[in-house]
Amino acid sequence: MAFFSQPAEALELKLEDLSASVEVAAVFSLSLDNPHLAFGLINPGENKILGEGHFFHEAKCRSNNGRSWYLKAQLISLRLLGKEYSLPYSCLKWKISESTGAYRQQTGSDFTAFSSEPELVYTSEGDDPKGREVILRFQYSLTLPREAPAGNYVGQIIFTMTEGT
Amino acid sequence: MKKSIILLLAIFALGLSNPALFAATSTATATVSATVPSLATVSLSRDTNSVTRGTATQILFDKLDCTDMTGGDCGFMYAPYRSEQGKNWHIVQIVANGSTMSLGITVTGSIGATPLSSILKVWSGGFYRPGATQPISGTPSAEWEYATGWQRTLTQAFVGTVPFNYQLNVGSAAAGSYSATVTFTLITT
Repeated sequence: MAFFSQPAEALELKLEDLSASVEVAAVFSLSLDNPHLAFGLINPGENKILGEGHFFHEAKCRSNNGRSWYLKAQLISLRLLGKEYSLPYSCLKWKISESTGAYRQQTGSDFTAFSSEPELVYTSEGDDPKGREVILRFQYSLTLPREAPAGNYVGQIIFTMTEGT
Repeated sequence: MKKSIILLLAIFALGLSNPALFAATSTATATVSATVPSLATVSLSRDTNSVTRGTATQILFDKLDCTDMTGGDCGFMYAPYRSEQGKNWHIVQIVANGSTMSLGITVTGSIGATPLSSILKVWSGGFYRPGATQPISGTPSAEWEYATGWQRTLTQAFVGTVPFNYQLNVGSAAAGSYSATVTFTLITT
């Protein structure tokens, strides 16, 4: 009897001593699954859409610190290689075609032109800042002016996810 | 000096102890690329400012200048008539997106025994971009120029229009009906 009661007491003592300490790491991240918007061949005066009918790529946003955040996008020129010419910023437009975020009103609307300044793309709502991943699916539209010179154009879009203060 | 240093240290310490003062930021970058092919299109239309005789593919000379207006020269015909001042016969529409473009005219055929190239002259109003009220500098004709050999070159992409009028030196050509060809050629590189 004494043989079986001894281990139980020992276990009891261990439970009293057990303490747990969990530190949840802060997460605040933004990633793109395909960072190359390749429109290919497009004639002056024509329009081409990337992701037409569905979406082109996904932006995955995640924050778990409980504070609201917002996503902005900025076009860093769309210039003709080897020439002193750039397309107007308004030639390139974006649209969120689908979103897993709480703020659904920002999806399905018309295309919005990029700007040289960071422009608001999405604002977190509801449970967005509580650790769940918010996926924003984008389409892009490029419309060339009729006088767009021939050649290869390159540009850069910077997405910035920033926490509210 | 000493106070300033103490204040800076205090702010730094506060920031470390209160993460809310620093807004987290994460960025992602996407590249954009597109290729625009070289295009050269040229088409003719009649100037809506002009009368409706003839078509876009015709230059119609049907009235001697001396018949058209008092003091006119019976050795010449014009399209449009000189009395239709301020009007043009053709509007040449151009899309050329290379780094240079050149519009030229060649003439073939004859009026009787006389080659058309030696008696047909043109006047160009210059290269107008859409909505522009003035042509690109240096492109309008200062005076009538022989059609054959007429050429303008721009060292830039151009989308727009060029108005044209025509003058025919009928000289001693016998009365009759003749036809010949005028060809506009656009080259962009």
